[in-house]
Amino acid sequence: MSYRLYLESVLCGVRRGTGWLILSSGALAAPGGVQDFGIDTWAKLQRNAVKAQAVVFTTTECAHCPAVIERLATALGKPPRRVGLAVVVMDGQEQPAALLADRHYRLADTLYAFDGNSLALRHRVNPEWRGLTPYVVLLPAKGPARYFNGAPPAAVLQSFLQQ
Amino acid sequence: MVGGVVGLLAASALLWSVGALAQGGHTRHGADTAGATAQAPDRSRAGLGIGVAVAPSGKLWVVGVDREGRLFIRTRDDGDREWGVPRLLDIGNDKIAADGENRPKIAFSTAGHVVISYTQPLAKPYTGEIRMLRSEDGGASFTPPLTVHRDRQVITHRFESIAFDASGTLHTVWIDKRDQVLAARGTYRGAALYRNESRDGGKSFGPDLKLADHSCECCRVALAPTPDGGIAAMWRHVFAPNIRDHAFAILDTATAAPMRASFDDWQLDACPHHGPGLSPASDGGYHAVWFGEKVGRAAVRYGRLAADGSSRGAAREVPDPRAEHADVLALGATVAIVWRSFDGRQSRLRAWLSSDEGASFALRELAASEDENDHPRLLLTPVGIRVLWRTAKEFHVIPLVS
Repeated sequence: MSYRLYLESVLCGVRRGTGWLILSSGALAAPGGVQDFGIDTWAKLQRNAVKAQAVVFTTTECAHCPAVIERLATALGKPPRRVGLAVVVMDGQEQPAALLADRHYRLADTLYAFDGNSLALRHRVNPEWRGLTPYVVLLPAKGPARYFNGAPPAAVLQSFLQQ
Repeated sequence: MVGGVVGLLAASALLWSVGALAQGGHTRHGADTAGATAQAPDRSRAGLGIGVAVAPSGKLWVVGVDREGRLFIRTRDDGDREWGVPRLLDIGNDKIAADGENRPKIAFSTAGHVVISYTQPLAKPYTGEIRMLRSEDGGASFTPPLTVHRDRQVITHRFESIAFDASGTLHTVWIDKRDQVLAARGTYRGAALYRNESRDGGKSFGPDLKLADHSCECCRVALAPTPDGGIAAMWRHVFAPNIRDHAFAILDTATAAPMRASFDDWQLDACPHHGPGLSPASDGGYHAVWFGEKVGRAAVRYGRLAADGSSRGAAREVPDPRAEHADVLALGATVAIVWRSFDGRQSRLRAWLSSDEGASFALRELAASEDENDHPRLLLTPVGIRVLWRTAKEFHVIPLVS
């Protein structure tokens, strides 16, 4: 078994687990599994991030999301990335195989499916988030996050990547 | 107060809640009363979105999806405090979109027809088809679901809305991406609105008719009766180049271009997942509510529309910066607007009530819940206006105007 196949099988096996193995890996060209994303995951992600991340909150019916994920993936470069790309699918809990098969979601380093009270999650991420998708958070390893309805302006993204 | 609702009742409002209609909180009893064989495929989680309607008898009907993804209906008399047992309807192996702005709907005709519609997501992302069940005996039994549109491409046919007009014609409107598919990639703004008509209570449907190019792709469509017995529609539109304001049209055979109904000038390349509400005004025109961002300020706004959908006067923000998914309904000079807002701990159900055609409003706190919840729905019953609000554990009917 190759290292990648092994790692993917491990990651799939911990789908119901903490998800932290994936967060710190960053060595995969595509997510090896779909991680659970609960109300508390956001705080953990912020607290334990070992590197900067661009986080895209999306839904499976979001027409604008694929292009934004693609744009961010291109800007962040090919894995392994210095800045990670995480995608949180707000309505994908019951279809992990379909999520993994989606070519846009496969551009992420980490793929999550949210399960829980979306109102509470939105409030925790940013009380100003009104449910629009894609909702993009540029989360530096240190310092305050920045929030965007849709794609961040190119200059902002460039500045984030240069930090 | 029942269950997890932390009630905040206005002095004149009564909150009636039933704890039995939680997700997964009911069993299959009563499933066979509709003559259907209920299916229980592996659908581990479904949304809380519901449709509500008043039968000609005055009974309240709700249609929703349980935790297993099964379609159910429940009824009760307006004055009762409890709902009847849920009845499961046969939807074969259909899956029903019932979260966010997606939800099943129900409508009654005066001729005894009852129809229930929903969007079935298909396996390919961003695709779906509009399905409908029909009853010719006042809802005692329903036919298996059928697809209402003639276009059968595996593309977006979603976010349907249904209504019977005064003549008994059933109107179905939905968001459709057939024109986007035909256009070169990236050259077509948004999606399109299509519609059809059924003159036999949902047994057969006329051709798919385009209502408008360039609708938003992900927001519900509001329908309301017109003064002459027709149906009006209001939806989030994508005006050039990327302004997500609202448009209005009458569902008839006329080819008039849709009327722009709101002027927030919200430039956005994203999905708001937030459609408008519309109700006829007794003094002509319409009352409308919508969500949008105007000069950087996101809010639910209320405005008056003329009979042709054009804006009349300045829009006003509802007095809640976190308001979302508002509904509006008028009864005479009374105008009721309801919405939910989340304060970090619980969702609050609030109303803005006017007794002078929207000239002035008073805020009323109705209820609150820490549970997941659906958007509030306003319903006109023979004795007044009711708010129906489904939370994860309960189902609330709140008399608002009697």
